[in-house]
Amino acid sequence: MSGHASARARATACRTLGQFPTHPEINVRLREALSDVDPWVRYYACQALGRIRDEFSTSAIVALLRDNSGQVQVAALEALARLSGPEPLQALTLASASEDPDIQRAALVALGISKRHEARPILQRALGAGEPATRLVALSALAELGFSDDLRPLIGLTRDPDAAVRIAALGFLSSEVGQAASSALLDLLDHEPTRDDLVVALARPIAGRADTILAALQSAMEPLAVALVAALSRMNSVEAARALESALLSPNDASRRAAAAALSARGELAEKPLLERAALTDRDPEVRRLAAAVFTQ
Amino acid sequence: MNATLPLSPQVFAILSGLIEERTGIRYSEADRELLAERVSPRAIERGFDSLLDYYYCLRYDADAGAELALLVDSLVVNETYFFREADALRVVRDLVLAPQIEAGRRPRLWSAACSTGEEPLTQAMLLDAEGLLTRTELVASDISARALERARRGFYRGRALRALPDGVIGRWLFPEDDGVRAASRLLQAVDYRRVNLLDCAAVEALGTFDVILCRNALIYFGDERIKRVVATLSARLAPNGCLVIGVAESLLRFDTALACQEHRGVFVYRKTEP
Repeated sequence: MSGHASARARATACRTLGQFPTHPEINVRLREALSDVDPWVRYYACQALGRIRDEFSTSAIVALLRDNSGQVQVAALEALARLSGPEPLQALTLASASEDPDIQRAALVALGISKRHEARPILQRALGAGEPATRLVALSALAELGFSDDLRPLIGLTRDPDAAVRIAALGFLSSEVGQAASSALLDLLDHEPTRDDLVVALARPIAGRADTILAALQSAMEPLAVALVAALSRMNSVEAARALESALLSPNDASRRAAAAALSARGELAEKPLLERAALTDRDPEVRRLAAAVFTQ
Repeated sequence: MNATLPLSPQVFAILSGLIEERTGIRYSEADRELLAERVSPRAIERGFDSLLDYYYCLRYDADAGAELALLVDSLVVNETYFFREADALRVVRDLVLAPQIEAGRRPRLWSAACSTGEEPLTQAMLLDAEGLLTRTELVASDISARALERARRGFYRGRALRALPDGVIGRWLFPEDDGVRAASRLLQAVDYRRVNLLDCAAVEALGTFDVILCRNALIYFGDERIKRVVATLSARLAPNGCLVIGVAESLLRFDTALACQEHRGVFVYRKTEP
């Protein structure tokens, strides 16, 4: 391959070969390409050998962490993410402390891809990096490992000064299954009930979340009750619709008011009997007024 | 077909950071798709099928500087036309340039983000109409090499001509093929240079000016960059010189060394202190 006149053609060949199932002849060619004169050929050879998990290349790829071209170093890190044994982990750990932010980020990404449990403390430390881009990369890498039971780092980043980090943290938190994530979102919303991004995050249709919101509605005051009902309205699931109906029967006036307003706005035929009853019999005049609104539309 | 490569939040963060660091052009998270659309053709042209690979090219490749210049060409919106916001150009002619000439000096004007040249050529026409063109020094610059190449060529068509007043065609612009060509004496009156406004040394090398036009360029920058660019431009203004920005732009929220003045409905920023 190195005899080919065009470096671009050789690079393209390496990139393409990495997309095929492993084959002894291909692996040999790719290993040869690790010492090609063109950095992009070495770059794609690294990527390809990583993708096909060619363990015979580990030492050669580790050696490329000292390559003169930065892009080859980052490709070597990416390749090491998919190779087993202590040597790749050691190299990735070392690179995660690099002063070059791109090398550091590439190492963090690689540690995430590696899914090794030893990577967790390194990635958690990197969540406190000064550069927002590094925090974002560390967060995404940690998501590859899973957040396990400790959601505190994730919760902390939902208040990050950088919008991209905040959005990513909320995205991960909102898609976490289980009571802990739902409770964390409820707690955040309790402190900042007007934050629309928190409402959107809470509205993600995760199993059990509608019930958690309904439980919170039993004691929520305004404006939290309004935010919780807004989350249920956005959730667009059968469980959320049932929770909204239950909220209209809640002993909590704030929840019934919010639910009456939301159900009236929806105007669903199936919910009209419930609203009619509330409009006629609810003890709170505001709930009666809001529930009756659907019949005047 | 214009393919758009995927741009993850992580790659967006590092790519937009690099672009802002090198050019001052700022992209917020809301612009992620826009940036992907703008960058993808360059990445594909270079043979990449991943924007992360392309980012590493911009970051590490031996040819990164030239590639970044080509990328900037595709990022900068060169949307402009002759006689755009022309009142401001008349005001600086009458308020600053003409008095300097009457006092026996040769004033200098810099069109700092001239794009394809419509602005400096409009200014040249307005000066020529009063017999002041040969007595004024006009410098025009842009970050985009491609835009400057078109400016030097002086051939225009279509939307660049949408606001032409009567009397321009046949006097300063001459029909040619499906467009017009600027009079050679106008083109020769403008000294075109490629300058990145974030490059303080390059800006300083241009010398001082009585008028700096920097219109509809600051909208691409974040607040910190705007402050930096305005400080750099202010330092290039001669005493009593003035900076003109776009009608939709304002420096009032920044603490600058310039005084905002209104003349005939046009706002200019004047250097009142040496």
